[in-house]
Amino acid sequence: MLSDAKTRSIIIQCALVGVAAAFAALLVSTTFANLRARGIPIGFDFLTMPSRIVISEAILTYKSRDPYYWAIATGLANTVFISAVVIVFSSVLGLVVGITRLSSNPLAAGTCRVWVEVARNSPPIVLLIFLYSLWWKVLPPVGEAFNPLPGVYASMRGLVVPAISMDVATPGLLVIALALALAAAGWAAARRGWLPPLAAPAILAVGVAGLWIADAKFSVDWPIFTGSNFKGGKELTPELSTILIGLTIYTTGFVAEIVRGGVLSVGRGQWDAGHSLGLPRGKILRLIIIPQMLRVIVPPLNSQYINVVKNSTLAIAVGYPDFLAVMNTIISKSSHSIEGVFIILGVYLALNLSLSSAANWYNRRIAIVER
Amino acid sequence: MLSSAAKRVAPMPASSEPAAIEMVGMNKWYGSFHVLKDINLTVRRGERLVICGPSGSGKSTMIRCINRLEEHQHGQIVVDGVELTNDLKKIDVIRRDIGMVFQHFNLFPHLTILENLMLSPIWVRSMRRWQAEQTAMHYLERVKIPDQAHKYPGQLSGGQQQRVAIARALCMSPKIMLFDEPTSALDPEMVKEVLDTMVALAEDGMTMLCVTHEMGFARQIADRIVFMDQGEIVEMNNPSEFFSNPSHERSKLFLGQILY
Ligand SMILES: Nc1ncnc2c1ncn2[C@@H]1O[C@H](COP(=O)(O)OP(=O)(O)O)[C@@H](O)[C@H]1O
Ligand SMILES: [Mg+2]
Repeated sequence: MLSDAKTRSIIIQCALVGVAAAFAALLVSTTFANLRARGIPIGFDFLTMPSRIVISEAILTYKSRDPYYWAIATGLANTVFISAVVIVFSSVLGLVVGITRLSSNPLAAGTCRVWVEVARNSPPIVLLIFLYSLWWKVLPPVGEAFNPLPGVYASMRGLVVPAISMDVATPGLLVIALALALAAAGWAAARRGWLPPLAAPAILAVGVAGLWIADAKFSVDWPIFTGSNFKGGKELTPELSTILIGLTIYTTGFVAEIVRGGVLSVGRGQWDAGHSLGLPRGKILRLIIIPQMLRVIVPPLNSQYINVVKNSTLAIAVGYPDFLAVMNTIISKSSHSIEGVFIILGVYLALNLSLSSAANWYNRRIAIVER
Repeated sequence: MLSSAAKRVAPMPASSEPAAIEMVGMNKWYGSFHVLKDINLTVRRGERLVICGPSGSGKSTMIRCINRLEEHQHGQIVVDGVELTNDLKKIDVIRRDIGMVFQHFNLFPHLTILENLMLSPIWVRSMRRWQAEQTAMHYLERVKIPDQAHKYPGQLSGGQQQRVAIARALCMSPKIMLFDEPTSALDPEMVKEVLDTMVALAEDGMTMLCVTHEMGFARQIADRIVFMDQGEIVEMNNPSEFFSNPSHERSKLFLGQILY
């Protein structure tokens, strides 16, 4: 019976799981016993108690009278915000830099190459500390703020950027969310031929009508300098600006390399075919090369996105309260270190698994049909 | 028929209308490697040329120079009265008028057959979608696979893929078609369907330059056969002369190798 491959494999797996479970049980029971012996409380009850910790800046509204769970949510929101902004910007910039590296213009290609080499060869924390020191050493006081892009100002006090706001009552938001979800589902169904192709636009039209009925007002709020201050726009502190810019520069280097590899992975024959049909280079890239490249680059890109989430913990180096920093404060304040560590592990695991499953879903959706 | 001195002078086209393609003293190097040596060749409108020669003799490179997939360094290439220079606009104009079919099909694997055919009419000729779709279906019918329109290239046989590639080139209504060993990557039972498509095209009066070793096909449609070796045009002749009475040692040797 033991020579049957299947049976043997099941027995071995059961044995392994048993050993692991026994080890974990031993670990947990010992820890609990020791903690109890020292009179340290265990459990997640503390989460609803007022935290009284200070979080220097937050995307959500947070006051120190709020309970622990809200402090955790605030830190988490900061981390998610940093990760999302860095992922979006480094994807766009990485695409541009990666493709420009392959251009025949030596100056453009060289510049991009320098970017990639600097990003790939410096520890991200060095990049962050260097950038952070620049805010105080290089940037002018707020009265003489740099204006590198329209609506973007940089000064010692940080960045000011245009803010996009959607002003809509909550029921309206629900209508919109529902309509968007339905439109996405309808579109997917139409693609599979379950619904006529017009279904998705129709549902989307309902959604737009919902927006209109809910009287949504989108507005871009441009910052205006009033002489001593900025009015409007969104102000980012030097800490947040540093972590956003630093991680974007760093991640862009890696994304650019992945993009370059992706472009090179599409065979020369595809370029030949595009050229022979009279398509110019830009259209060949957009219509032929990039869609095929996406299939190759999504898995390595996903590991870079996971790295972004992990690297966001470097916010601690410039004193920005990301999730890990907040959890550190919570742990020292509440002395619930075991629970805290479990929450930390669970949150990063959940974030990164969601990224991976999004990538897997996308990859399946765009897979090339073969015989 | 051509002495080694005379072979540099291409036979002039019989009619007086401008040539479809004219290459004069054309040379190309890859680094220090001289791939094409003093190519002189004039192709009349409606003429069917078959180009043959041993592997590595520069056949692909020569026809790829005609639509500027490769750049020549010396001499002249004039397509339909327009000289190929670094002028990108002219290159685009010339490419629109030349269709090309490759050994490995080079279909776009992420697009359906129909989308493959509609791509350049929409993006280069600025056709409306319905118009491009009509054109695409018309040519798919001509290559006899309209029923595959909504499949992806990976779902088709090699012969079908190559017929799609021919249809894709035809969708741009080219004046000249270039074929680079269109049947060499096919299983033997699929060669005929592709050759039949090409014969039909030849009978419609398309100007065709075809690199191929299908000698039966060459006999059937070629007006002239160009034999290349080591980057030179060694012999240029009508098919019956070329097959029965090759004038050059190297052509004899080559024919001896491929006919058995
Ligand atoms: N991109 C390239 N760089 C360097 N040498 C090349 C390149 N492409 C082709 N060659 C060389 O040029 C010669 C002619 O190639 P090719 O035109 O493909 O020959 P054919 O199509 O007649 O077999 C060959 O010796 C080949 O090795
Ligand atoms: Mg070849």
